[in-house]
Amino acid sequence: MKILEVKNLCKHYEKFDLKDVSFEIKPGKIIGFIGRNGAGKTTTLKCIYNLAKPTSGEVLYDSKPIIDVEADYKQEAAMLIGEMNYYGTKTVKSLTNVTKKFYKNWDEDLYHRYLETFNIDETKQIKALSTGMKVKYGLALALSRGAKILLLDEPTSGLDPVSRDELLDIFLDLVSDKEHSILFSTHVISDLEKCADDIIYIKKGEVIVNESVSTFESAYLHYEGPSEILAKEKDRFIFYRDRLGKFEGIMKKEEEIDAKEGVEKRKASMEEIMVAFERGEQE
Amino acid sequence: MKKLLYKEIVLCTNIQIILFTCFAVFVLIPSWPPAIAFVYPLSGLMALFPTCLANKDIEYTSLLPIKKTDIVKAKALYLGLVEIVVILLAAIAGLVRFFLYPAPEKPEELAYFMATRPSISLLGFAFMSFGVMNLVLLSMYYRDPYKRLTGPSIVSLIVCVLLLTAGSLVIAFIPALREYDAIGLITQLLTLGAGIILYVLFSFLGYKSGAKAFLNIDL
Repeated sequence: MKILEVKNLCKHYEKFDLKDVSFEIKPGKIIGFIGRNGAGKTTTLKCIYNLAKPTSGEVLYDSKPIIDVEADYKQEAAMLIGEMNYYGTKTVKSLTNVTKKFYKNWDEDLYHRYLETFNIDETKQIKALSTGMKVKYGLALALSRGAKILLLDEPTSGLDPVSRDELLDIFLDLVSDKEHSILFSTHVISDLEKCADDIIYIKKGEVIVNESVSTFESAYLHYEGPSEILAKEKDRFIFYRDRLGKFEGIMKKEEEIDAKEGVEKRKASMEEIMVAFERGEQE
Repeated sequence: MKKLLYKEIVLCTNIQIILFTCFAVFVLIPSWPPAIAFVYPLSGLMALFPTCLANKDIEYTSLLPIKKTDIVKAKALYLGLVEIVVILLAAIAGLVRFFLYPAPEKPEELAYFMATRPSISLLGFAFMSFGVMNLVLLSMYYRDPYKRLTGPSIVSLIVCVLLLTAGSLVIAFIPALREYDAIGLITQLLTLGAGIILYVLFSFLGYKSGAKAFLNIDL
């Protein structure tokens, strides 16, 4: 059962095009949305939350176009873009007091638990919060409003490793009820490895991968060994480095070759695959 | 609607808006044309949009569970609230002025009249002027809310001031619009009623036009 469906989304800008982006979000899933800076992640997220108007295509919530059910949809979906950097001179408390009035399912106890977990002082002015604290405050607001779909643009950026780990645990706890779903963009590949079920990879405005993390990871192999052995097979690699007699490269599993003596073969990490995808064309 | 207005009051009101709104009581200043009292509060309102832009008001509001067009509605409602407070303050101050200062001895003298005698008709013209200002401001600003800051404010301010001046002149030249006999009172009340109707109409058109343009804006 899909809760949100993105269908053939296109967005034209003068210097960038989002091309025919389609995917689904199902309850109980965490989807990692990855790609380089400027690949179209934020544009896609903005279209999904009706912050940007698609040139064509549509986003369906509960099988209805979001523009027809916008207010109801936004009760069920929470969007967080970067840090919570609004009304700098207002206190956390006053901004929360306004925000919570808009949500039917606001959970005050949960909100205070998150404030405690994230160590946020309600009496502080927004501008006095550090970047990491602003991100955490935004997350506390998003998580306390009872939203079933969380759309998060780089939620872990600006967080220290411990906070990031805590946040990823919160994500896993949230989706364990099989009602919540999370789509989050990130550059931190280790975040995906820790908690994502599925991965959507976007490159130059086009989705090039949309599958489970395990399928994605098991589809590529990493080879490392002497150049004289591996360089002969270089056309099979989607990306390689051949320097000072040492060869290193990423290959699709269906192109798999036997590892001769001195060659190390293993499953490629997500980060290695991402680099191969992005730099492969350049070689 | 209440929530949107609450959000605007708590997050967008600043000391400048409060202070300049209170300047509506300048109607009380002797020898000043009462219409001037309506101009000062506009300065506060013109600061509203740049301040909100600096505070990322649109970005915040767009994340709330409302329609995109409600972002424009929130501002239209807030403008309406401040303008009505301005007119109420000016009306109270005008009433005090009416009883405080004697009627001019030579009402035929235009300058003398304009400087001393507040009228109910002026409130009607103020409503109409504010309505046209809202129409110009909202429809111009939301065509490009990230860049169009100065233009819509200046144009709407000038239009409003010109209309207030024209209203004052019309009142000066048409006795029924300023006198307090039976005919004068009825004419003045009708002018006020017409002003309120035009105010609602123009403000609504401003909201609709701004909202339509805003739907095409990528946030």
